[in-house]
Amino acid sequence: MTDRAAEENTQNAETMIRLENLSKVFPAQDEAAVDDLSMEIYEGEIVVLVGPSGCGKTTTMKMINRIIEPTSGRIFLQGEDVTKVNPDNLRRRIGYVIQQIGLFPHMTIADNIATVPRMLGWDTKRTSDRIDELLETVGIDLSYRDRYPKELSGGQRQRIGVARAMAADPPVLLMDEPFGAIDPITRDRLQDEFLRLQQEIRKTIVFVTHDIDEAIKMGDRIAILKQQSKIAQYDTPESILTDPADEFVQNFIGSGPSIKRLSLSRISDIETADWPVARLTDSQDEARNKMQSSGKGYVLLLDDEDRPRRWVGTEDIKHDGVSLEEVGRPAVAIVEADSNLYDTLDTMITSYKGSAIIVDEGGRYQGVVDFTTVLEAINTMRPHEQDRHMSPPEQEQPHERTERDPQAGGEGDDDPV
Amino acid sequence: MSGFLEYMSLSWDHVLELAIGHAIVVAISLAIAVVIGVTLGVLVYRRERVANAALVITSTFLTIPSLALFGIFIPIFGLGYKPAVVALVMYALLPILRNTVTGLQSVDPAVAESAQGMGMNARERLLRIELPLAWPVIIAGVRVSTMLLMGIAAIAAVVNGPGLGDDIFAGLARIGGANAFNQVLGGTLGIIVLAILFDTFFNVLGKLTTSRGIRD
Repeated sequence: MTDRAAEENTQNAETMIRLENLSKVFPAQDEAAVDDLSMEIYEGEIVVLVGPSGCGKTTTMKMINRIIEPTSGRIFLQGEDVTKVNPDNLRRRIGYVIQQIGLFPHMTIADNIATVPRMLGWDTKRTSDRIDELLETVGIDLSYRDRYPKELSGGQRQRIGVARAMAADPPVLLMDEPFGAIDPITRDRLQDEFLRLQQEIRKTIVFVTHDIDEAIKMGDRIAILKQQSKIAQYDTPESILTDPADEFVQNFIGSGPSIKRLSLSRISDIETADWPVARLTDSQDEARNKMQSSGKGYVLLLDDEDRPRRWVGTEDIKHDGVSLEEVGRPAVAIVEADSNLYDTLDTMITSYKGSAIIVDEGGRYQGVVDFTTVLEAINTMRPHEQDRHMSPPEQEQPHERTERDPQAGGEGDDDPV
Repeated sequence: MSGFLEYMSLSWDHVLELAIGHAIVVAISLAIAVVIGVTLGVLVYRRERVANAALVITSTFLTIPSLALFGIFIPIFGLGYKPAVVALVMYALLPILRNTVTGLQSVDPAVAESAQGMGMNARERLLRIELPLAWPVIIAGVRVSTMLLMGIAAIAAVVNGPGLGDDIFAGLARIGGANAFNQVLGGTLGIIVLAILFDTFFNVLGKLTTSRGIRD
């Protein structure tokens, strides 16, 4: 999620879940699966528990709703000590989504979703309205109410699983690798939709995954867990990426933490440039005039609906009467205004000269972003890192500058394509 | 062949009467076996060792030759209905118990866990999730027991029990005599027809009571 949203979250935060010295020892094992874990989860945030296989992250999550009973320690939900209360009642207040989903195959989709509301004694109309509401929220057509799970695809079942968990509107959702059993394309889409949904419903969510990239994408805060669920670092994704606490965290993040950091910022967070534009229907002379008056060597051609189509440079103008539509090269590196910087960088690499055109949802031209702008944005994100690395390379820089141009920043970089 | 048809046209009411008696004793024994077998299955399916013990005991019943078992029951239960039903229930137990245990144990653990995670207590889980999902397997067990009982019930004639066994034994005792063979044939064919009828009934019952979501 974005930097701004993360900031908003940590203000005015009430504690929703508190784990106090939680431990779990399984009878057959010598070492504790979870050893003396304490952590707080605030209202309305997504906390991701991530770590290597066997570190106890799933065990920890399952102790929150006591599917696995803790050996020692206490669990607090909304300030109430729920360590010893009736577990069935506790679980009706917590939504639970597991990797294999576990929809009841012998019940219709509607009956699946209605399970907890019916247990809580909701009347028929309220339940039915809620089912319709949830199907719409998770993007499943209402005609699916009377179908059975076996008729649905994996992605659809996962959505119903989420709908079922949210049916009685619990304040907390526990999700154990909910997108793990889905293909990567659908998973990406489900993650995006889920984040959008969370903007509206603002539930407190504890999310377990082994995938650090998923954790970075989904989490407001991430708890990186070592063996026995010992916390290596529990912080926002931005902080973890820019300031890993130790070698374990660094190794776990993997390569390219700075690039990954870019996926948390959006084009809207940085300043973009404007570029001279012309129409496909303009003449070559008109295009050349625009280039001259702006002092840039290239002009971007838009069609009637303001969509960027071609780049035309001074060298392409030949005064041969050929229409602009056949001059220059097609504009290929295009990103939407709400893209993150990681995807933007990826697109820029495919462009001719390292920049990307920004468009809105309708595909209309908004501006241009280039490598220089992104570099500046990175530099503002990592003040500490800059201090750390400044000294030795500085001595070599004057020598390097004359040989290689791009790193220096801004100088004479007029060609966008 | 014509001799048999002539025999049947004269004795059909007698054969029918025996067939009804046969059907009733099988139905009663099945009903009792289902109650005992399913209840037992529900009690033991979570405990591996107890379940194994129960399965071993009930399989042993099947290995006792029915003739011997009926004979052993005479001093205990006397003659007629009682020893027949007791023995038939014993024979019907294994397929029903085994299928109940297997059916309940093979419920998808993800389904069971998500039911638990939603706050269903053990009784609700059993009645609303596990039994309905195990039901097709349980019914399959009942059908097997039905086939077993159809044949074994014929032996009940040895203890003066009801059913078509009466004709079969009577015919065998006087084999060579007038219509002796036809008597045996009539009794045997009657059992086969009953077996088909019962099996069809349970097949249809199974389909009707199994949710569309899990029917193959």
